[in-house]
Amino acid sequence: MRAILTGMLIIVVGSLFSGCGALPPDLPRGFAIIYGIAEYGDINDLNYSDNDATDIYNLLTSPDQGFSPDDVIIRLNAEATKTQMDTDFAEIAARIASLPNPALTRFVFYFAGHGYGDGMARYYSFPDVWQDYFNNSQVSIEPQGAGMYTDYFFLHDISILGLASVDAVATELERAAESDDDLAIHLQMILSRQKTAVIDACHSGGFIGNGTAIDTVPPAYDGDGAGISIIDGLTAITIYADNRSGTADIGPETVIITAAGEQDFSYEYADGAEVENGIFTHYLLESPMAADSNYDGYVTVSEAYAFTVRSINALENPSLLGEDKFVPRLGTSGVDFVMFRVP
Amino acid sequence: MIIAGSDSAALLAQDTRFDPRLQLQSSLYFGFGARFLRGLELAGGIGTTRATATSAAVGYSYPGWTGRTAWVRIGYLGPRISPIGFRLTAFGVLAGYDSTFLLSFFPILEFATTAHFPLTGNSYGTIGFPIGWEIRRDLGIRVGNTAVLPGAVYVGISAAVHLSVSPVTRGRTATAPSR
Repeated sequence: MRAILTGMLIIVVGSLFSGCGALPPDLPRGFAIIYGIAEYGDINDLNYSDNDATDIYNLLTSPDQGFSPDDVIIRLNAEATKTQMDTDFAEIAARIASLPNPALTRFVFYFAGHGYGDGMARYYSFPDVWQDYFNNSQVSIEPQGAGMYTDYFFLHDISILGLASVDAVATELERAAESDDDLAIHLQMILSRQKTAVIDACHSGGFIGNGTAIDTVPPAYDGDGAGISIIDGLTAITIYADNRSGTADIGPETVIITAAGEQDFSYEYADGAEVENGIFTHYLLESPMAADSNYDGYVTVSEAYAFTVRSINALENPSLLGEDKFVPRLGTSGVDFVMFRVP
Repeated sequence: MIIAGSDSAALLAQDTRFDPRLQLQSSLYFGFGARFLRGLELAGGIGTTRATATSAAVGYSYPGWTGRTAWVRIGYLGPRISPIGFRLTAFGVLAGYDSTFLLSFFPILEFATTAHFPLTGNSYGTIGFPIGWEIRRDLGIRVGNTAVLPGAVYVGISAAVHLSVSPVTRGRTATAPSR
């Protein structure tokens, strides 16, 4: 009897300690590209976008999350250019492709910085030629996607001054901004079957494609309109009947979570605030510890997303005026990926 | 005829990139129908369907969703509600993934063999064994590397109560010889 009890005690103690050390092999090897830009040239600097990227890097490379620092590229401020992004995606894509089974990996792309959506006339500080381009660029209207227009996030070296024509604006965007189509092409280079993109920028909801599902929250969120309407139902039926697919926007093979809708701003805490992050990223960083709604030890993208939505609606939107309210958006397919392990 | 019932099913969910998982699915439905002399039944109504998420322990899960359904059905019960019959049902589902604002639509085709039994008064019960095909664009069943069927399939069991507004005739009736 004593031997049996001793054996059981050894087994129990061994089980308690078996979780220490290396991450159990229940999640595939992870790769990531993280960009955070707070310092810009011609446009206003942000407070904490670089902090956001650093904190996301620290979270992913923590022992609980299991990303190797060798598999994660982080670029901040002056390092974060369009040319560098092209290089980084090519490097990570090659590393993944060189593995014996590239599909059995996971990939995360994160961006924090300025974003903008075509067709929006809310950046009154931009020179007139930029307003002309964004307001009159008919070619950028897209037939599908949660984004009605081509949307961008700006890299560090974008320059808005001294451009003489809308053609010059288009060239500058191609040089120093990442459009939704550009990101879709970059993501297609990655052979991981689990791809997650996170964008903490204004108008970022326009990066989401809706090949199989629609977003029932309108592109401009004002605190209402989160229910399902008859129009939403008819739109969902139309999308199914049309069988929409294409290269525009991020396709359903990448789960994408954005800080705000296509016609919304996202915000960061004020300079000198106790929390030195963007609001969406702040709650995303809390989600490993607070978002496991089914207590299974994992936080999926939809669980993390739901936590950020609840938190922002409860704690941040009440202090914002109607049209300034924002809510994160999610684009997904029939599969939900694990984003974090609960520490 | 008023119809109220429920289904429980196991759905084989598979994205083309991932291994399949069984997802539990249940539904409640309500509707109206009519039975014709040759044993045909036509019915339609509304319902709700709930699918629970699979485990995320392998790094991914098939998410849970809740669907609002509309359905139409054609069935065969036999001229006098024989014990065995069958039915074909078409559903339209508006499904929202858990914890998101996403909404998608897909149709379902379901075939079921049914067993009927009398209840009290003008009502009878039905036990069904359905096989259904959810014609979804975000899932697809493959064998090896070959895609064999878009969407997902399920098998299950259903139970329903049918309340007729006219007397229910079951089995054979004795007739007196005419003079």
